[in-house]
Amino acid sequence: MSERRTSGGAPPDGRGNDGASRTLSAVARHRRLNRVWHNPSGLRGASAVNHTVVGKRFMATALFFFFVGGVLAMLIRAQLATPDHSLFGHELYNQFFTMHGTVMMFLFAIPFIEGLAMYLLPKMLGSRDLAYPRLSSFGYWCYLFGGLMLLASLLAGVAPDSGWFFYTPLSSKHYTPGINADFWLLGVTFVEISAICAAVEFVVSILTVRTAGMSLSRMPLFAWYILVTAFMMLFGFPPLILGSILLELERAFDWPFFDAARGGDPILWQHLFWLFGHPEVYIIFLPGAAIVSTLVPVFAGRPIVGYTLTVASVISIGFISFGLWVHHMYTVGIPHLALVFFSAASMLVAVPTAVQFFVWIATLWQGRPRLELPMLYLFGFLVVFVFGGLTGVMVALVPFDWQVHDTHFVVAHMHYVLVGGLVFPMLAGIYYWFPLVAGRRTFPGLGAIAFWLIFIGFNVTFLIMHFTGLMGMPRRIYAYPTGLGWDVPNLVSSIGGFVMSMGLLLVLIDLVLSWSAGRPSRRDPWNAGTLEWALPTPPPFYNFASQPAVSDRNPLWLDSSLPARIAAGQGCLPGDNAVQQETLGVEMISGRPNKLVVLPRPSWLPLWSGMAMAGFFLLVLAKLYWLASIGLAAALCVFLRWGWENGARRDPGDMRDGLPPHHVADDAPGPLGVIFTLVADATFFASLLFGYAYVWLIAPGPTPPSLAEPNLAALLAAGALGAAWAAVILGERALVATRQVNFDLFMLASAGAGIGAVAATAAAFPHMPSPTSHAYAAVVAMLIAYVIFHVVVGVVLSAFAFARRRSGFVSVYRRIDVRVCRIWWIYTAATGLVTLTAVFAVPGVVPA
Amino acid sequence: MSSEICLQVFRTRVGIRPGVASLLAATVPVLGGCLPGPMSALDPAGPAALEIATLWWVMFWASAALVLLMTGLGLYAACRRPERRARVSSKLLIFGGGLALPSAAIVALLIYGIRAGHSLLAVPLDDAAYRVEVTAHQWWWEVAYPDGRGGRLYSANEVHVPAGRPVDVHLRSADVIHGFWVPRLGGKMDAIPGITNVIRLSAFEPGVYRGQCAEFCGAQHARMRLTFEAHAEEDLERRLAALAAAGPPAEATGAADFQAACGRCHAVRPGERSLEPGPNLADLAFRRELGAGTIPNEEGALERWLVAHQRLKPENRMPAFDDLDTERRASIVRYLEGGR
Repeated sequence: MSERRTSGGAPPDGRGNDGASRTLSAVARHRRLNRVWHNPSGLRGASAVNHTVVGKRFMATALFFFFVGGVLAMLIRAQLATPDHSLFGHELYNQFFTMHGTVMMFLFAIPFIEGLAMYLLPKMLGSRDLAYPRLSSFGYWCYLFGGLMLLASLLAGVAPDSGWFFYTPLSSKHYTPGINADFWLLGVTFVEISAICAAVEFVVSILTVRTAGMSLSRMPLFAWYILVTAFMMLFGFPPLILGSILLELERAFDWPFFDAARGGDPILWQHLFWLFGHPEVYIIFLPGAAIVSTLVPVFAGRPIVGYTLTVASVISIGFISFGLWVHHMYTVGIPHLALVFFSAASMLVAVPTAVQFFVWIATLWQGRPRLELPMLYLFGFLVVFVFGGLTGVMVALVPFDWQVHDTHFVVAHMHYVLVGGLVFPMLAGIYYWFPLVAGRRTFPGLGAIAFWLIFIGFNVTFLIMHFTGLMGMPRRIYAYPTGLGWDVPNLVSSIGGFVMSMGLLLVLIDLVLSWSAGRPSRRDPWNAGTLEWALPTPPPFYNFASQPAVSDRNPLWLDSSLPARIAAGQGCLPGDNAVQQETLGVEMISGRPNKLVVLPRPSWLPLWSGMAMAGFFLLVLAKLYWLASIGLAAALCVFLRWGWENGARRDPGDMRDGLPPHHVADDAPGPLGVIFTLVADATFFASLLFGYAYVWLIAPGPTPPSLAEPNLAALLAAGALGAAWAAVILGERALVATRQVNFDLFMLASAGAGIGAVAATAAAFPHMPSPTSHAYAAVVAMLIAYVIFHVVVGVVLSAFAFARRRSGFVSVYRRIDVRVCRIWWIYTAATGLVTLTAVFAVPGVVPA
Repeated sequence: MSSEICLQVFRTRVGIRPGVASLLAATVPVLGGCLPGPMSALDPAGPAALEIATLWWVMFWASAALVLLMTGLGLYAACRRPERRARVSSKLLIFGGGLALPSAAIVALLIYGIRAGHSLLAVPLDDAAYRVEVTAHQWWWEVAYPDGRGGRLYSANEVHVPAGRPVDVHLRSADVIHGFWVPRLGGKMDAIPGITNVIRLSAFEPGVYRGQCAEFCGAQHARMRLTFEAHAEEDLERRLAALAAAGPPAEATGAADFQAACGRCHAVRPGERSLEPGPNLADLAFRRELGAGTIPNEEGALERWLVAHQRLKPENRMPAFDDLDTERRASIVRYLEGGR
């Protein structure tokens, strides 16, 4: 190992470098790095995992779906332009508006943000790639295949038609018997796997894969925003994933989670949906704000005023946004006092948002602003988003919401928030970063004309729509009679909509033209201060020829010769002797380098695993459940193969003068990623417990059957879980004490305890009624399935750790597999014990 | 909205001195006042809607001012030459504009809004509220008067209530989630399977107020309308008496044809419910519209409905009855129209 690690010559302070390697010229260094980081092109390019490639793929695919969503919007506006206009019947119209929302939210907004962050983060943080390039790529395939599944349903005319928030019982089997709803539930869940992957990727990469000296307090604001957004995704998406699984189980197997007649409650779906749906709005807005906070200082020509305050307000938005989901449910009959709480919380979020706005204004005020094209779009953002924020405060007010809820007023409000919060900043960002991505300038005239078309078209469409709603027009009606005063405003909205789409089309034309025929751009055309502009345009796969040690939030403003020095190899990890893809890993807070993250070469594993998952989802869609389980097993095999490729069979040599490779580091990215994945998993579990308590205590309908008396088998199951927990801890101790044989035995013991736990759990429910009989029985069955799934994965991980030790991948120093196994078992045992307590002990104490 | 009504509201509800109240009331129409329309929430005809409309105009002008302020500040900061720009400390901008301004606005709005919300709640009212029960179906409204003459009376898609008095609408759903909404009278409430929600509405004057399902409920969500008719007390009495007596005589011609084709889903006695859910047709002849607001109930409309209802309101739950010959159809129409 040590002889191959020659390029890792930077001492821990990350400033110096290998004296002998200075001899290479910048061009030779580039050649060498390019050889090491080379990515195949053509069909073999599907194996690329580099963040630049995958990020661009995400963005391009998202823009394609933006186009699809836009076409759907135009079809909707065409239908509503005149009263009783039957371009389409209700079948098509209901598919169109459902898919418009679904495509824009799940297939455009979130993936575009993921792609942009994926592309930019390493470049801004001074690193060469993200922590898990293959995971990004796997996420992309999940997104692409899930998106294509939804698109196929649209082309086949069997697209989802229950509205994008999919309320039950309308979306249940009885009222939507077709395959339409299954497409939505499975397709969206598939796409959300990619969101969870991206979230874990971003959190770990931002926290541990930066350049030397980039402490948290020197991080670009963009990274802070994405960090908060990624955390929000970890907490926000699991409730919807759970909801989708429950609803699909209800549809496929008649488990009545949401059926009021059998002890379920349709309102449970609304809670789960909006627990996701409200944070989702901020998950979309925060990256938009991230772009604004990045661009405003550049065009003001000075650092942002109030960096710390901005970070604090972003974090507080993250927290507050989880406390106001009920404001979408004011009309379901929740007690008024509770509504007051949510009303106050909903308005409270306006405070940190306002702080950000005034931070931007103050930055411009103190600077010398340059009015270039991106600024025009930022101006559009300012006007549109302020308006959307204000109508947001209005609808947070309970009595007003009772009037405008479910009307076109809300449609208008939501478009002001989402188009203002994401589309305008996104366009500003596209024009801003285009020279970096493409190495060429766009045509400023075209961009400006496009702006005015979009800005005017947007406001013509949606400003008047507030009044259409106030005049009584509900959402989601495919026809309306004349004589209600809705004719003129609808026609105006339709005309505005077409003007806006002309503008967006012009942007597309501008980008395509500029990509091929634009003027070549010099490096850093905007005189920006952040590190992505230190790169040549378009950036090479390895980003930095040497990773700069930074001492300021705007390193390029501090030292304009930085790009040259980076290229000259005067930073850390110069690529002069590079033989493998490496980047610095740092301590979370200080940014002091403490490991070398060794990154994977292009790999087909992400595509294979994505295809296995696609097979699973398609087979579930086709209701071939036994075959589907084969798909899942195939995915598991690919994941195990993937895990097998990691790590090394030998301990690294003397590390005193260099950085240890990540697989022997204490804060290796792998276990950290598992922990953050389990954060999302724990949110899923907590949502399931919420569902359990809800069905037990709140849902109307028949009383839950008593189905679980405390018994010996339950105690044995608890004991087995505890034993598995203890075995992995003792196993790791044995490993540290270099008693390898004991380690092997403990791993086998934990696997055995896991199998015992499954058997005992199954035996603990001797009189389990069918899950179809009552929602309570269904939720308990779901909890048991959750525990058993985790135990089974735990058994596989124990066996994996055992096999890895036998094959020489595990030693006292190389313990990643063991730590992952331990973390998993602790989580599994803890959730298992909570489940057993909830099912066996709580019903005796708390009467339903 | 008329100034007198506003005046009354400002005096009684908002509790402002008469002088100030008349001033405010006079400004309401200037602020934006009324946006007329049969379903316009800004053409309020009841206290709840009026309260909300007033709230809207206050918020509208405040928001307009804030948008202008923010846009102005943004433009000023971006476009004014730095050396000619007013010197304002960033702290003042951020803490004044970002913290103080929204906090003050939110506190004011919450105090006002929570009070207004409370005044719209269906709190117990010592029997003073008139009670009517509405059960939402895909895609029509079943209406029940629990205290009708001779017991419980059923009708559909039309709700008759007293004017000038609070009405508690008890909402249920027979299938999916629907939203009950009469915009000129007040806010909306969902009808949800498994629970009963109550919404309190009240109309200042007798009149016909349009309503519509607000929560997306499937294929014919667009054609799930209702009329909410407020009467003077004696007129209401008369109307409900007519309902109690409505329905074609049992031995009338056409009864057999009707029972064979329609009887399973449609009751024709106002006190009865049918085996399968379908609108009670006892007072069909008096109704303003057919098919939950699909076509006006004019001469020949019933015949037209029976022929073409699956084209007029596709996928509605009533079978197409293509096998019904002209003669039997005419006999059913005559039978139902004899219900007067």
